[in-house]
Amino acid sequence: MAIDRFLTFRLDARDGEVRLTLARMTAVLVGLGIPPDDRASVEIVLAEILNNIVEHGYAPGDPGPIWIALIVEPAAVQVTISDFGRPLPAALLNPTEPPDPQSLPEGGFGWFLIHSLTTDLRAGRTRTLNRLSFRLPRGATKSDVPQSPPRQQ
Amino acid sequence: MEMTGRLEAGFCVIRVDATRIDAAGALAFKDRLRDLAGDAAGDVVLDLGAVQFVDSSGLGAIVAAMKALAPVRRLHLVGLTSTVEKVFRLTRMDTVIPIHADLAAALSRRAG
Repeated sequence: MAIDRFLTFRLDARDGEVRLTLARMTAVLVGLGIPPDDRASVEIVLAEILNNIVEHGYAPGDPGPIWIALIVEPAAVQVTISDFGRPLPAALLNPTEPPDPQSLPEGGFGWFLIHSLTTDLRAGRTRTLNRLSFRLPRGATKSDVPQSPPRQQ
Repeated sequence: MEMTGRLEAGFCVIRVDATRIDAAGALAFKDRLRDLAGDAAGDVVLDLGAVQFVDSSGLGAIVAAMKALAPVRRLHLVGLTSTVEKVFRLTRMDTVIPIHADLAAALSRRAG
């Protein structure tokens, strides 16, 4: 039976710490032998979510804490991200159309990338703590992987 | 941001020596690219061979640079590493920005 691997990271919501945390996380995933394409998915999605918390979750000049938990399973990486910032607007949890490349968009890529690479994206809030969880299917694009059944939270 | 530029075969070749173009560096990237591209005539080839990661802000900055050069000059990309290539492919921005396998392939095309 494959053994799940559990990783946690904590950072303050600042650009520089996002960069350092992603680098540390990637180094750990390299050490665990996670293939490059799976690592790319983790880094792309985590970068967008962490940047979003830095820019919109916490007030400028008041960067609070962010906690990340990763469970590396054979078929997916399960991720939970927690913070004390403003809650995520619920509409962002719905899949979005990609920006039209022909219009040469300079933004709107972030949530599209998140939805492209994740399944089971859920957000919750208990008093002041936000909790965002999702799965990153490994070794395949999301559309190749059946949705997993609802999991107990 | 650490970037260097040179003229080669009628192109302005700009190499990014930083390993990331991300939210923290997107503005500096745009400013530096504008300075290096200057008012020269040829197309711009952006060498991303050292760049391991581009996030949505970095992607937006590259698109902004492309628009700033248009319509007279085109922006070409070379040396995409695997994660960077994945970001361009998922967003389908690889369909509107010319991407070449390497510098030689980009330079073999005629400027203009």
